[in-house]
Amino acid sequence: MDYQAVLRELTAASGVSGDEREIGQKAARLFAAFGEVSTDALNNVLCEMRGTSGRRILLDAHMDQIGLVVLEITPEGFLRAAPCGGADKRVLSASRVTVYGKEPLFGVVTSTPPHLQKDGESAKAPETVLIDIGLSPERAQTLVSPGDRIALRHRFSTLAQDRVSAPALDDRAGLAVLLGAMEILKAAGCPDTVTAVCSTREETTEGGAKAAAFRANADLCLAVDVSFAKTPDSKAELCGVLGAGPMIGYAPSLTRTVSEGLCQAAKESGIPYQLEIMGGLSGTNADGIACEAGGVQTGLLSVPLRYMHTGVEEIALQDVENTARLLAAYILRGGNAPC
Amino acid sequence: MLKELCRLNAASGREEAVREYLIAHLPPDVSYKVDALGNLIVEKKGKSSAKNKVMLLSHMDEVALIVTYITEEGFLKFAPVGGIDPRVLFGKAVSVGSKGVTGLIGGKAIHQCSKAEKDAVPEVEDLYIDIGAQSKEQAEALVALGDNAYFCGEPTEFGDGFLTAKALDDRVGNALMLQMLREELSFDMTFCFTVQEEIGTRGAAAAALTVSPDYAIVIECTTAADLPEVEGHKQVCKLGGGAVVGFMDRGTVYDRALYDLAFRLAKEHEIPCQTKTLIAGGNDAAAVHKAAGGVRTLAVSVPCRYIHSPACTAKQADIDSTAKLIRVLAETLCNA
Repeated sequence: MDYQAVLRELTAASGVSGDEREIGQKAARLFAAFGEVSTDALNNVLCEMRGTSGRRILLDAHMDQIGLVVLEITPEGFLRAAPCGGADKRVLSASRVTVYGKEPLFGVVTSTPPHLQKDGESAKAPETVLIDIGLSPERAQTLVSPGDRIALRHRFSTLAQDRVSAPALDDRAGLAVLLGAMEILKAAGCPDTVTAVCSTREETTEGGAKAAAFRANADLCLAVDVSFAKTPDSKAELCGVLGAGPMIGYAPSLTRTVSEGLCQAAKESGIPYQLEIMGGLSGTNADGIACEAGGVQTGLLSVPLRYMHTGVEEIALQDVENTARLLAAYILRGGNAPC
Repeated sequence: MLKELCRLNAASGREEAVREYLIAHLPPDVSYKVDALGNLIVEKKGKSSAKNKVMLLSHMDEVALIVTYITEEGFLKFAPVGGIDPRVLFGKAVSVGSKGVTGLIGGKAIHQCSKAEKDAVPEVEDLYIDIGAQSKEQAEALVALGDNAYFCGEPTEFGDGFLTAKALDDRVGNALMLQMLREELSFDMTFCFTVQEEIGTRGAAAAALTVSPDYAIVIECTTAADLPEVEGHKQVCKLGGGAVVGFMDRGTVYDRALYDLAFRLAKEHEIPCQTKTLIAGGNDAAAVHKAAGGVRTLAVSVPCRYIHSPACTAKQADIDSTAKLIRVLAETLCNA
């Protein structure tokens, strides 16, 4: 699978939490190659690849992204907006955005001019987010409504080595992993029934994955998300390393035998991996999925990512590919063999 | 032409790309020279010789970054070249060096920040550029110390006649002067495209002495803060309000007679024109009016939101008003 091309395509489609229409259509088209595609009440996109073993496996990656939501149109015709999901307000000044109004509108996040900054103020993130769409108040009122979503404009960059950067790699990288794993599983004639869910609303309520997990009633669930990769200013003990392979989650909320099985599969297949040890919840869809449908054995794989929830999220393509390989290898080796 | 100029990268001291573009687009009927600092000085003959020597100037440089150090892990440390608010750098992509390598400026994720850190953008000295290199050696293969990094700010039109781009300050001045140079003028005039404005109006000081004009008109881009929540006079000037002519800023007390003349001409020719309601900012006039034994100087500016960011935003109608005003003002001064 050409992961760079797939990621470019996946990140170009918008899907701010709760309004996943565009990415949902894109995902449905891409997953159709691997099974029967359907949607549900929360707009999750599901792809079922049927097997004969009787074992049912659910793979989850969320397709929503962080963004902003319009609160009001100011008398001057600017938009006042609030974070939708955990948007990082520190990075928004002078960012270019798309407002998903009656039609997509280009906008710029306002920034305080230097001459109005008091001493020390320049370091502070702005309290409210104002968007300049260059329209009169009347035109703005016609084209934009409170509740409309706003996303950082798409910009896909290739960096040194195999690094790429774009907004919404959290968690389009996870969708790419699911696509890659489904491709491998299909080619290998996987005996299990594997359903991939591109879930909605992770960044706000984690609602999509819970609904999908209830319906799926699976024997095993594997969630794929992104997690923190080390930056010069962060703590090594809280981060993985970019390019060092999938991060296998260990947390009280996850099923330990699944975590161990993932490690074993990585060793057997010669796939590089790293451990991500967490003291409580994992902060991903995996936490909620595990408690659905009377309880599901659940594991978590994360693609290391720098600058999460900004417009310049960065990943290594090799990590995406290795995460897909590990996911497929774990499923193909069958049950939860202990280490 | 303005969009093409904005796409070029030209930090203070590294103005070659803009200068070469301008030279390539000069009409055949002008003479020009490039001085020791890199200022481009163009003489254009008009239909008649001028009574007074009038110089128009705009600066070619833009605010940018300069790479000062490469860490063992392959991250680039940098210094700003000109005044840049860390808020417009954090979480943004930049283009580094002559190869245009993409770099990212970010920090630890918001999830890992303390309560205080969540609201505070790191200081510029704590920021670094990530080009994806995993070691100093890998980074050095792509970037050298002293390379500049630039905002990624593709020119984009939006809304009702708005344009956003990096470096509108002061490519809009360059574009307006180039446009004048390509038209027929009534009188001889001198056009200076200056260097190093953003680090202290240095090129203009040299060029003003070389030209020694009777009058100077600085064509600029000036801060507009016409935003919700900014009270009255602190808005400074407004997009859609026309060309901006200030009476005073942090670098210059403008010639009062020229100030009055500008507004009179604007009224006569029905050109939208506004003043600044706050003593703020500064431009090449600061150097020019004190140079060569003193030069009567005025600045005419395009109002611009979010200046010194990847998204400087101006309105086409104001650019057009500024073009009209500088033309009529320059011709009037030539013959005054």
